[in-house]
Amino acid sequence: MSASTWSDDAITAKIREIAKTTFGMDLPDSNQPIKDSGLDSLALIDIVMGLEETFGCQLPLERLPANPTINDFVTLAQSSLSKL
Amino acid sequence: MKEVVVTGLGIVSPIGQSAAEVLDHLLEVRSGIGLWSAAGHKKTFPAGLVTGDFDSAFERKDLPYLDRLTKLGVAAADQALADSGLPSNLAELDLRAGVFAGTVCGGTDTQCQWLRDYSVEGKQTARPFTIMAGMHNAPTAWISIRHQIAGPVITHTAACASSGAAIGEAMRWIRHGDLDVAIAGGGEAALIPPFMGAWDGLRALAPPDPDDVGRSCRPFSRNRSGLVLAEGAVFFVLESAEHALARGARILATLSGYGIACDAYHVGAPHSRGQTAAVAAALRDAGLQPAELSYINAHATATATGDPVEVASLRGALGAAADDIPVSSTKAQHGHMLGAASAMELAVCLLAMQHDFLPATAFLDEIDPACPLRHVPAVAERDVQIRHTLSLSAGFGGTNVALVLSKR
Repeated sequence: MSASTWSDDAITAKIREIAKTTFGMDLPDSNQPIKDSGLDSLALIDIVMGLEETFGCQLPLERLPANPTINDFVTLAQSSLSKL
Repeated sequence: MKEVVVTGLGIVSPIGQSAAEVLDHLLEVRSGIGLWSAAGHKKTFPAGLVTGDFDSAFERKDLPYLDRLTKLGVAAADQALADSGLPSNLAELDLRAGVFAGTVCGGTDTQCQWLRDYSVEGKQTARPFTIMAGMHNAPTAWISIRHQIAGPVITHTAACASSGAAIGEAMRWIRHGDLDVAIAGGGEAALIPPFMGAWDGLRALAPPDPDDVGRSCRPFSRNRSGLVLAEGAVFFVLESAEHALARGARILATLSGYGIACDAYHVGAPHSRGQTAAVAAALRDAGLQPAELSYINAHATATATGDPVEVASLRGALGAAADDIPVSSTKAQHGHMLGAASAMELAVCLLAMQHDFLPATAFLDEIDPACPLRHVPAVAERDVQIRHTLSLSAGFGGTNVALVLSKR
């Protein structure tokens, strides 16, 4: 899958996969804050790093809201991917 | 000054993962040394390896933050706290409880993995938990969080005397009335290829014994061939006697003496100046004459240089009494646990005192004439009452720690 063809569902699945592989966590619904699952802010950074490795581009972490949901991550990722 | 007592012991070591298992190994003089090897590393070494599951004590989401050092340390500290009968949550003690731990390398597995990612894989940014997993004070931090210990939480690093310094400093906090409870000890989990290779550069490691790898470490022996590295963690619960008695705790022993002194001589070569001074200071601290000691657990790593220097140091501190005080080095069985060495050997002293025996120097078939002491060669001596016992640890850099335990 090239970076420009990532669907929202595919990005969501990738985020869930990273959280499961690294932290053994099943993340909550995509519109619920990820921290509700017990993951902390460093874990969120790790998820961002995992996405960056996958997409081969930097994601501007500072644009995430304070308590982000999976949907917020998807929006951030799509914004960055659209500029590639 | 408050009396400081031991009320709990936790051990994760190559010769057992409980006091009972370690006692069994000591009485039967069974070795915990096995063969270390790693893919891509040409040499093999004897080593004191710890096996077992140390992950299941943690939440899965926390595992990326945990170096093996922290896992072993937390396991030993949990065990010690449970043994003491104190609650797992010490929040009620607020600033009156502390954690004091020694380590030489910190989370070196994590550190080396990141160096590999950087140097070999070309990564320029580490995973966010790398710093937290690799830092030297990770074990104390996790112990404090796990048990809600809000007072001094301090990591000591003084090479092979690290955990001895941690225990001694904890003792002082309690003695001076500034703490009621301390979890004190140390750990090491550094048996990774880069570290083994670094030690190999010192030409101080024993080769595997060709007949039985378990016999590779032979302190005080004419046939000794070097030290054997090991991993593990050992923690004690120390309390003021006043606090322990008030809660009806079972008291295992009194921690009666602590001496710390530096050789101020050479960064890697031992000298009797500091070792003798540490032993003398510990005896003075405990208010004992040398002849009152019933047993000494020596540092003796089985190096050609180190063992005779330590013998000279002990003889210098003990005088004529050195001819009669039984001495052994149990590193022959559990190896050199580095940041846990002092704590492990103090645990051996405690078990010897509790169970009335003199631990042996395993495989000491032929005593080196350059190491004249009252040895306990090869076989543990039973039915020996131990009133006071001393453990000596000597670290690279010259820091030496002696600790004295007394029967209460």
